[in-house]
Amino acid sequence: MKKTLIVAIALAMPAVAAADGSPWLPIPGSAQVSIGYLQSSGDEYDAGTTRKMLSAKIEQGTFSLGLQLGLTDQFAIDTRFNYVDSKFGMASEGALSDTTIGARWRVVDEFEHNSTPTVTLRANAILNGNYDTGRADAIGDGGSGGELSVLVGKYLMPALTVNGELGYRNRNKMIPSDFWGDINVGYAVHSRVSLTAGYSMTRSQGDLDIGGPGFTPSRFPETTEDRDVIKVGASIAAMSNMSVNLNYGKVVSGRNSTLADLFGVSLAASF
Amino acid sequence: MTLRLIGKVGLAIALPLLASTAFASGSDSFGGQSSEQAQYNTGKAVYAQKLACPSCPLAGKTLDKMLAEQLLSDPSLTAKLANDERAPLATYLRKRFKL
Repeated sequence: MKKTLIVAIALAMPAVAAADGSPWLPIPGSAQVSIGYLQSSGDEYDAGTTRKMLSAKIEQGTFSLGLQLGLTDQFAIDTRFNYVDSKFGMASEGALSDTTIGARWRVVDEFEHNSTPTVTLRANAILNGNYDTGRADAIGDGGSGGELSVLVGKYLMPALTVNGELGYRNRNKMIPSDFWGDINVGYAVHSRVSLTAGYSMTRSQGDLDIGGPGFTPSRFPETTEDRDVIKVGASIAAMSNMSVNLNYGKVVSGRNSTLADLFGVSLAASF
Repeated sequence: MTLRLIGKVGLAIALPLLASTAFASGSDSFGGQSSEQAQYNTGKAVYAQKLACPSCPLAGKTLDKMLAEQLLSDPSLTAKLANDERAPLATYLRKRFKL
């Protein structure tokens, strides 16, 4: 039982929050507010690269509040706050998770240069939350740091888009840095409904596995956490300035990571 | 035919999820953008791809507030657009030039 609880520390799906990774910036002079809930759960995990079963399902509910401001046609800032409720067997914790504060700068506009995609640079600060680490229901790794990424997108037609992101993240407290990649295709099937499908991956630069050489429980944040996620989503225009977004994702493979199912719902409104 | 159908069907709202269904920055975070934001982006695409492309009626013209007002007030300038293309175009022009 103790061993299983220890494993859960690393598998608690660190909720390093991040604001929307879109290459297309908010409307200049506008504010967009979003509220969301994401439920993630799983009872399988990869310890290193060996797949194993947990004694109980790990469940996390993340409540998020995001704000984006379009300062100019080329520059925007955003922030996202999260509160996470985590449960694993008899253990539980609820706390503020990591917060992000970010800025995006669009350097190439596809609508001014028809042959190019939109290219946007992004920088994010990560502020660790007030959750405990080193315990079974730890919500995250407990580190602060920063992220840099390049976002690329193209409207192949007004109703069909493709976009992606490549990024690098670094945090303190001996947490391994990682790279991530993301690609999405979106298609508007109706004047009020659009669908998306995508894939994202994270590759940690660490080399420590759960239960591997040199591993101790206190080093859970230092373990290598890789993940491959497939995802689909739908968005419905509920009002002229508000949409309802429904999302599903699944962690299909990983390293020192839970194979979780992810369900999300959010409301986004602009003013 | 397929391309035409896509263009007809889906333009009043432009893919509010797009990148935002991604686990942004590699984390567990579903985002989402508002329908108005989506329309704005689609409106930009409609203008660039349907009105200002090299073979389009407004090729080579600079989009400024005056031209935006003309596009909003003169139906003949947008006569070749589908109905579900005009709404996002109008959202884009009004928001971009505060009309």
